[in-house]
Amino acid sequence: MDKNEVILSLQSLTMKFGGLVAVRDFSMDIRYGELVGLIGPNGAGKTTIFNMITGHYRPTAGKVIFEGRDITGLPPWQVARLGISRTFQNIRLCREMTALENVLISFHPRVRSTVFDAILPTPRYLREERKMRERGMELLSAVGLEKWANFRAGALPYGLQRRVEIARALATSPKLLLLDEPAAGMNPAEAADLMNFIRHIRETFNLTIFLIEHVMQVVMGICPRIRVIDFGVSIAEGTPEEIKNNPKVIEAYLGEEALRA
Amino acid sequence: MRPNRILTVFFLLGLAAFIWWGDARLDRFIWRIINFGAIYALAAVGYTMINGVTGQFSLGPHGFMLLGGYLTTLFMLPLHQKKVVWLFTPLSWPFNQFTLPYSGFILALIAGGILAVLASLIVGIPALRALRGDYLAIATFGFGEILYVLACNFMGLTNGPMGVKGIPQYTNLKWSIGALVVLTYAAVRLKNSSFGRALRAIREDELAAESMGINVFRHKLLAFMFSAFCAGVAGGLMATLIGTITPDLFRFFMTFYLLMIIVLGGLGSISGAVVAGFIFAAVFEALRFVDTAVVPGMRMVVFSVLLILVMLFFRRGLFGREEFTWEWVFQGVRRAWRGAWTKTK
Repeated sequence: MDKNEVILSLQSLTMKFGGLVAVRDFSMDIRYGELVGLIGPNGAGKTTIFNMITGHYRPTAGKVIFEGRDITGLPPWQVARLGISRTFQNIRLCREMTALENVLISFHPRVRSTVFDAILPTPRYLREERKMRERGMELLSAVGLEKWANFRAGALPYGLQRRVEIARALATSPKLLLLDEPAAGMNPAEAADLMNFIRHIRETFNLTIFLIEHVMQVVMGICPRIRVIDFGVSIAEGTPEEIKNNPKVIEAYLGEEALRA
Repeated sequence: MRPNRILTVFFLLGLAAFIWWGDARLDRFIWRIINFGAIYALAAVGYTMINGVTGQFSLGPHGFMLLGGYLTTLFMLPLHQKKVVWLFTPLSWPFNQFTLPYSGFILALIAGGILAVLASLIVGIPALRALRGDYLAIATFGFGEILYVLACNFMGLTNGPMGVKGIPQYTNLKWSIGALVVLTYAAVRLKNSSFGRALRAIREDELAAESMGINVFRHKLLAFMFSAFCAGVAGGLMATLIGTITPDLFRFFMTFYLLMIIVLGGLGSISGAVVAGFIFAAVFEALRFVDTAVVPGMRMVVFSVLLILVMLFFRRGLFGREEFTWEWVFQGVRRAWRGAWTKTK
């Protein structure tokens, strides 16, 4: 894949909720293989941008172009099938199902058998189910979760739940992975661990990753390119070094934290 | 063959023997209760697929039962009986032209199921796309009521509130338990398949399921169609068990019964729905004395109190979301055995 080709292009996205402008005129291009960070204080509109990409919100104005195709306003399940997968800020696993079953859900859209195949069951379906389970286990092993495959997802510790959620997103075979505050609620050691994990899966699965983070130190460590937004407006973009020294960012973001410290 | 398979085969053989013996010898009163139990269980298995497994609160199964019941009646009622029943308004074409012999009974039941499925598409396509929770419940409830009103007024098809009598009583244990076994098998397979995983994922987190590429609407519709089919067949069996059919047979209380059954069995548990269906039919008869001794309708009060007690102290129902498996039985037996062993020591 050409490294310089754009995979996702956000063009002047605006999202209004009644009188509130959550995101204003947000534009950004992400190229194949990039690992881009999006940071900003609480309520800056980061998750809203994700929701517009994945089709959970229809932008008030602007366009989402994925691999040259306008996907603005497509329902989330179609966006997912095109190759954009995501995780959620507050982990959204199917808690009553096992870790493996959670991963298998993501394979379902590509099941070829019909309902009748599944009910009878025909050899075709049984073959597919067996292959799905094998691939599910492979995927869980690839992310180091094979031991937990048959545990109820809701019973796993927080850090592992996060990984299961990422594994489930990977199972859709995405080209672009959106991670919404993956390190939320983790202590610094766990967060560092997770960042290594993200780096690892990016290489293993050849992914483009767009990552939201609230804690700056975390994102500084792994993202070569960072975009900063505040109150729904882009205020800066650059390398971690540039961002760290950008007065606007310090004012909007670090200044606030520096005051608290 | 694995031991579980062997046990299942023996269980089915035993069941077949019981059906064969029961249809010939069993006390008619008990025979009737078991038939009712199987029919309730059948409708409940379908109902728990949409309400329990998929988590979409529908209140419409009585409407689907009504459709299946009437269509099966129209197919099976002998021609001479059709002339007697439709006295004031003549029966509409094509049902005044033909009647099916006993060998066509299975076709009539399936046709009833298919009619219910078609109706489920009519109500499901708009309702499941846009509504969830309470609103979906209200829409499906309204649909059932519409069907009731239609059944009361489409004299040419239903003979209105006077109903139809003299339906050949074809339903016996062979049919009722047979249909229950076949459709329960289908339900279990469906629930445990990839499609079932998608349905359970929708129950647990619709947004997450959708984000993983699952077409939520289509899968809800799938569960809804399955439940409608079960209800349609159950309606047909019920009409041909009782021998008469009126719109009042399939009013909202029927859905209320089914709701009690699936809650008692454990929402989302197919085995729970089956077991609770039979328990319901038995307790319903056992409590008949309350109606005669106190005031008519008292039975429902007792049932409601029972349901409240279940919700208070036994919230997950008989089975929770678990299913009956042989392993589950073995574990229970082993535990009981070990318990007895340690006590004697």
